Amino acid sequence: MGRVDLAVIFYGTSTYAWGTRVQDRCVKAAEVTQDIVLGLSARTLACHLLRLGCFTTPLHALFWCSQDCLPDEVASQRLQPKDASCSLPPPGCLLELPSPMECIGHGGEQWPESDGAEEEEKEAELIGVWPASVCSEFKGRPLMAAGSPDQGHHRTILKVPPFPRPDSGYAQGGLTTGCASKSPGSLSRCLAYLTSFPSPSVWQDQAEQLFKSGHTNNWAVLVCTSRFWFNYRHVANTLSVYRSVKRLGIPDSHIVLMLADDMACNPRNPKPATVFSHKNMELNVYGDDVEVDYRSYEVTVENFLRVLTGRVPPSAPRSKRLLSDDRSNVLIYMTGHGGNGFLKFQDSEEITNVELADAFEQMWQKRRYHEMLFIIDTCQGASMYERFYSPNVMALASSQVGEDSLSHQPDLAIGVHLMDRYTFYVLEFLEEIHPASQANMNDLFQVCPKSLCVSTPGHRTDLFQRNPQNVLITDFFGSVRKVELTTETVSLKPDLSSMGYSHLKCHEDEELAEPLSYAAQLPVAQIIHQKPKPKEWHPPGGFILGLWALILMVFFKTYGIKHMKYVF
Amino acid sequence: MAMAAPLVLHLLLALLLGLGGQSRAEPERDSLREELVLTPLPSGDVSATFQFRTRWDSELQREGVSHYRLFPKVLGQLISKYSVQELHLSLTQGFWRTRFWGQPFLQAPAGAELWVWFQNSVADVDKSWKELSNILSGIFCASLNFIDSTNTVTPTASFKPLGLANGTNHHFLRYAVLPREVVCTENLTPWKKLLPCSSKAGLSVLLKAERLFHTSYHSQAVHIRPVCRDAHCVSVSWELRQTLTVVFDAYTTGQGKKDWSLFRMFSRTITEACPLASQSYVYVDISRNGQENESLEVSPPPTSTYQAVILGDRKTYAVYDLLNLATFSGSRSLNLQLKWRQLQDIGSQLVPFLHAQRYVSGYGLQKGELSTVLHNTHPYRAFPVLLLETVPWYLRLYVHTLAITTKGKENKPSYIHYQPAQDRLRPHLLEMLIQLPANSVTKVSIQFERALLKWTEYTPDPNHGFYVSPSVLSALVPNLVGAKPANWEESPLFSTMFPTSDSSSYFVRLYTEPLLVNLPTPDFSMPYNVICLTCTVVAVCYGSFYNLLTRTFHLEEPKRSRLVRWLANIIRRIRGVPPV
Repeated sequence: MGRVDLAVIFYGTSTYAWGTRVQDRCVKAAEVTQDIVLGLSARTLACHLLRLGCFTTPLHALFWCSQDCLPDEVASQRLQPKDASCSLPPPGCLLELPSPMECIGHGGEQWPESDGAEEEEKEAELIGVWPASVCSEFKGRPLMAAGSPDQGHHRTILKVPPFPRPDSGYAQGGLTTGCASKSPGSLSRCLAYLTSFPSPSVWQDQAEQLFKSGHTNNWAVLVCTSRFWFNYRHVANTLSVYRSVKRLGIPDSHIVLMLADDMACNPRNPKPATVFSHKNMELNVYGDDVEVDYRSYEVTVENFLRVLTGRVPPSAPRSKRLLSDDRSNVLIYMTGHGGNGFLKFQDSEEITNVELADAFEQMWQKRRYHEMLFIIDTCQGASMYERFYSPNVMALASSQVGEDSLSHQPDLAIGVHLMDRYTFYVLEFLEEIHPASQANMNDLFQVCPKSLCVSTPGHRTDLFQRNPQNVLITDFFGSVRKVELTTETVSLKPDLSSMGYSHLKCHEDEELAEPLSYAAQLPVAQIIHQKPKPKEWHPPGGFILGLWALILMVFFKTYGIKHMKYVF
Repeated sequence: MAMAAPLVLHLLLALLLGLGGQSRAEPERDSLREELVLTPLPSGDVSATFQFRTRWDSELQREGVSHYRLFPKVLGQLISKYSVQELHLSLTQGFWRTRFWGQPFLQAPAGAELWVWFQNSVADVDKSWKELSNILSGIFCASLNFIDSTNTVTPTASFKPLGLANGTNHHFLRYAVLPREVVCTENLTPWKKLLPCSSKAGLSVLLKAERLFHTSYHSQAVHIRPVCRDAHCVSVSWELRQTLTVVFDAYTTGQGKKDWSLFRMFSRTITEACPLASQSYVYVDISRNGQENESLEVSPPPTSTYQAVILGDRKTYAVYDLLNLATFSGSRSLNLQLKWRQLQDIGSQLVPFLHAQRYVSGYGLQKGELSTVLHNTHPYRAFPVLLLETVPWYLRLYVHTLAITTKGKENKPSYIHYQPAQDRLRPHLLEMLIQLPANSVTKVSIQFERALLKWTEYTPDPNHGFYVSPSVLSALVPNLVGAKPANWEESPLFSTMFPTSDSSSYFVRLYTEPLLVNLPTPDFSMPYNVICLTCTVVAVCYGSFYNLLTRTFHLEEPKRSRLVRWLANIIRRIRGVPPV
């Protein structure tokens, strides 16, 4: 089993585990159709599943790895498939499960409440992230449905190279140092870790390459803060960055896109559903599968800060949350109209550089990012990052304090400028980037010299730990996962006891006795005779009449008819 | 014991069969039908209605349903989690012009509309409604999270459930419209992803954003409802209907010709049916109202035609079965074309029996009047219309000015329900059942006063105005020809949107235009101006006054040198003035 650190197999037509998130609350054994094997932030995933008690039934989830072997009792009790006919890799190498205690103390991770309508993993996301060969295997629902159970289980196992566990010390600064600094117990484990590989040196090379950035997932928050048609260019700016990050592999579920106005379907747009970045209309940055998470009136300072700091209302859907963790590289791109120390939102409110810096600090304290790249394209953009004080933040701006950021590409057909200069050249640069390219941040700093931009782009790297020369563009703009595909297959037999035959069994008694019917759409008679609103209780008329009769009778009985004249 | 033994055997058999694969033991419990209806409209436009129906013979409400095949899991989970009985969501750009385009199969108001019937078991309907709309906003990338108590109503008589329902207690119904909602590609993307074939195969390949939004009317919707599983109707199946209606302006783009083809409208042609679909049809409306049949020509010639009474009138449709390979014979793809032999006079069209319009009148920023005009063009039959108006709280309705007049006389509604608004809490709700006499125009008007908002309650673009959601008309319109009740499962999808009860009339739900009302808008830079002005005033007045109050004034003897004084005294002595 070579270099598999962690593989999780989930069964289900439409249940996926993706990244560090588990889509379903607990993956049901009944959903046996397809396996998705992936390995990411092993500990987080395992912790969550353990907390949900997902290891009680066999064949729910299988974790295995070749380096760290599981304590025997865990292996035998929890993860061993009970079905003997199931030919699995030797159970000797299962993942070390964290104890529940460890899970409680684990990081600033927050698992959002399962809201029942967890967004299904999107096909585009799979395509965006996995290599093309993998995509053909997992092509969303249609294929899955087409290849449903009777074709046998469709199995592909992805071997995932080892990822650093957040607290093991491997992540930062190479392998040997991380091991040496640990206690003897973990040292021996580390040794085992090393020796289990065919050639340590080969592995070390790969590991170094892999751990250079230290992140396991990528997120992007792209904000356009300007409303009204004449700010077309700001929407185009944001969309061009969106296009680039999506092209380089960040899935839509990891992008929070905020657009303050709708330019694509604006009545003034002569070509609806398009936003172009260039006069020659080559590149429709809007695309055919855009997903805007916050739009028009939703783009407010409050919502932006809530997204960053994670203080969203409990019923907020997943697509409107930034679910990053301490292994996330976060790209934040903002554009709009700004001034010295502020950025306007929708022409009605502002965010100041102090507020932004404090929000980033809160993110850092809540372990919501590992490294952050902040880019702003606005007038006097450099003023927005000068107050930052949180670690691991790299910032770029289109112009220095006192300078305007200028627009580019006036288009006579729509009557406004298509883009801003800085983002135009950034897009031009990003179009050359592909997932494997080695371009680094220094190249990005050089993108728009003053001769092209008119303004002077600025950058700030003093808070950032690494040398910008070693930071790949794809560390922030892409989501390049080191995935290796094998053709090795494992045949698993479905677990019958929990295969969802309950349908079949209780099918008969489910039927209702009396036939159902459709409601009349306009039941005139029923509407007219609809009961009026229930009033407060009133004694019935007969009762009141009787009471008066009684009073009168008592009166006459007492005084007789002759006293009548005194009454009236 | 004798009873139990076969049961055990049966179970065992089922389990054994299941071992090989459940689909062999059990037929598929879900099915997909896809359908496209192309209707040349009287005005020269062409409407295209896509319908994708997923039917699932399963109890979705029960927890634990986890094996999803065609039915999207997102929506399935939503139904079970929030105990939804019925869900209807539509996102629309543009306005269906009933007067010129005729009755639609299913109209939707501009913007977003959501109405949901919850199960009787839901304890806190408002909470479920709020959470549901939040989640739907995430699924469909729409701002449905703006649905709150200020735009939600509970209609008492309108919006009866479209699916199976035993008892309709309107307390479990919630209805909201967001007229401001923009509909664009980001709404279409998640909608397409719900389709079993996505946009990869079948009719959905035609759904390309740059064409669909280049239209006069674009409406996409999701309808979930329980339907009868079979003719006996003792058990429930769940139906998910995804509909998309677009109206292309063929007349203007075709240089005055009303001819159209699939390729010209969608810039694509149909190459195959969705492989997962059990039925895949394209219908083209070729019925001509009282004209000879040779006036138009469809190519390729249809293999069969379908005749039925649709929306009260007898219609003929050319049918193309995409699962039948003969449809694609000759060429790989199906590019439907329609040519008119002779130019049809646009003026001689048939006006639909019911249409309505709505406007706001009055001048100034204080008062105004909302008017809805209902037309019954039927020559001899009266029919009832249920009118529902939702007005936001910042328009304060004067209910005593409510006037319903038909032919100059007052028309008393047979049912009226009014729920007054509460500021910042709930909107006005007005429901009326009005009898429209034959060949008449009825005007419903009510006056209102504009409220002042707090300055944080204004939108970022307050001068654009504030939208008032459209009135909803539900009516039983008499049929022109008698209709026979058809089998639901066998008739095309476009004819089975509303359950029909009698053969003499059909049910329509129409929406009027949304209204845009200007509210008195303050000058938002005023606070800054006020601050600047007051600061200046304070600085000038208070500053000088303070200066005066705190200073002490005293005379100071001028100190001059002795020489000066001596010189001055000499001069004074000369002048005859006492010396200083």
